[in-house]
Amino acid sequence: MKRYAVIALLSILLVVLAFIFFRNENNGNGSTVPPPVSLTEYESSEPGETQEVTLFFLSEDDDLLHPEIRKIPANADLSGKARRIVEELIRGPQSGLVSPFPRETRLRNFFLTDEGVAYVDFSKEFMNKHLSGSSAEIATVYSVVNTLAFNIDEIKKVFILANGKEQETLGGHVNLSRPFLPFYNLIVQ
Amino acid sequence: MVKKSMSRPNRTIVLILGMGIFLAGFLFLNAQENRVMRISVRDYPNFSRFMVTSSLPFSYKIEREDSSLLVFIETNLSFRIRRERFSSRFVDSFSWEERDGKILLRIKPKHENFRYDHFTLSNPFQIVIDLTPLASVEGKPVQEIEKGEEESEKTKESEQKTSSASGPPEYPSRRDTLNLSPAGKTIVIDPGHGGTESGAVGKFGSMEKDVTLPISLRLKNIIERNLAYNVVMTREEDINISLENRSSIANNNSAVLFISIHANSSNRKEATGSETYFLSLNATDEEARRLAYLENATSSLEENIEGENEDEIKLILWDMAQSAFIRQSSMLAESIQNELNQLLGTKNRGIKQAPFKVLTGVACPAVLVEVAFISNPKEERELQDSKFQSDVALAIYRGLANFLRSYAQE
Ligand SMILES: [Zn+2]
Repeated sequence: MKRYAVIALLSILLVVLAFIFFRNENNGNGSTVPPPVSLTEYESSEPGETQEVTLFFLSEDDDLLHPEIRKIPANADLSGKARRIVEELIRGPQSGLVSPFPRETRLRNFFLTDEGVAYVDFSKEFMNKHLSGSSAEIATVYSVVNTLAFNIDEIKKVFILANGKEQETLGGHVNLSRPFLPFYNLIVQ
Repeated sequence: MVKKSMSRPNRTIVLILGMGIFLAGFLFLNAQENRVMRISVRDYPNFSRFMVTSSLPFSYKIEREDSSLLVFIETNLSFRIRRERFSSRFVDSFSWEERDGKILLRIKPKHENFRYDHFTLSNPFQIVIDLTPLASVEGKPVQEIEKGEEESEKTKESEQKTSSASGPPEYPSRRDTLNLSPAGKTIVIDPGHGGTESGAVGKFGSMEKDVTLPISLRLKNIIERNLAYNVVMTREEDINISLENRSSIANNNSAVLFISIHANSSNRKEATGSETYFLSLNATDEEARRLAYLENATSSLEENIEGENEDEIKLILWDMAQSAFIRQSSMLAESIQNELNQLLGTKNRGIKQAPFKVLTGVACPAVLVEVAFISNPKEERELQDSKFQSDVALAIYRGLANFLRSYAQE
């Protein structure tokens, strides 16, 4: 009789386990953030070799984003190139345009998924030194998003983080809880 | 004897199988319990929308039977059916029964002469059935709307004359409430920011939260004097309200319009003027498809969910809610921006789109008005001025009243 009890218990366990297993398989693909694919440091390939990139900043002329062409060290690695572009962007314009970023902003981290979603993680100053205001927030977000998507075809969407975390909004207006598609209407013709 | 003839391993197998089947059945039935079908009815100016929302898709068939509409839902799964209380101008009642494992839904319109259109949406699965009464001898609802429309047109004109004439310019003259739409409907006004969240701050130190509130209160006042709508404010004092709560306030009051009032700020010293925004979607494929569908469908999708245990459906719906109203929101934005340009003599600015958090979950036409730039010293002073605040409130009122008028005519 003892033996029957053990077998019965084991069979219950088995069925329960099987049920849990199949159930998880059915609705397993939840809303988890995709894992970072590449987190490589950029390194310039040949010393002296450069490439041109287009950075988008504000201008006093109108409320559109204006291009500034800049040379950066050539970099075969996509993530490396993207990092460098963001760093140049937050360093600010050199041709009389207006920077939308707080001076203290730093890039903490960057990674690009296989699906073409770029995760750009700024230091906390990106948020807490930022002007609150719709136009200011829109300019900052689309300066980053349009610049990345414009220069790197593989980047389809950009997710903006600050201090390693997903944020609700930049300064109370623009939604940061979803990735952005580029919005080229904001660029001057 | 029989018992003994069964060998030991056989008995074990039978036992395991028996237990297994019992348990699987038990768990399966248990898992089925959260299959919910939700039925709701919603009125629009010229039709009523009947919606069946379900956590699982199913096939269905619609037939007309005399003056009723029959919906056969083909499913052998059992659903809990939840109905929302409703009062509709065109739908009298509905009932359901189970027949041969199918669910039969019977919709009774108030008028025998009606037209119906239907389509489905996914995620969550929805059948949407639009019932439009056709003009007939007893087609009263249609006539009533038109009559109300004419009246409001007349009053609107005279009221605009008085407000632009010498008299007190602050508010349009007080009249009996107009009948643009059935009374009891709500417009939600959202004064941006509040409490510890001050919003943008000007050179002289004025805060966005302190100028959005008086403008919003003036707007509320003008609407209540001139229209039959209720006005609900997301805040009436200097307190923190989360962005999600602001849209929930609109949805829980079944708002017909949502107007969020803000003051702008830019890194550009030269930035000036008023801007009206509606939501831009970072449209995923699913959203884009849904949006394309709704653009083609007559009007819009609304869902007002109450109750518990459907957080997931709720989340998806809320997160998407504004996507169904993009076109109307752009019309509302345009209407308001026109008035702002005229009244304030600002250079002609178009309407704009941006992914604003506060608009994403709102299930009605919704806009965000940036009254002026608090980052510009001249405009910062204007924003403090009560005459300027009243002018802006009046312009926004005219814009939304124009929108309501043309929307009701559609
Ligand atoms: Zn604001």
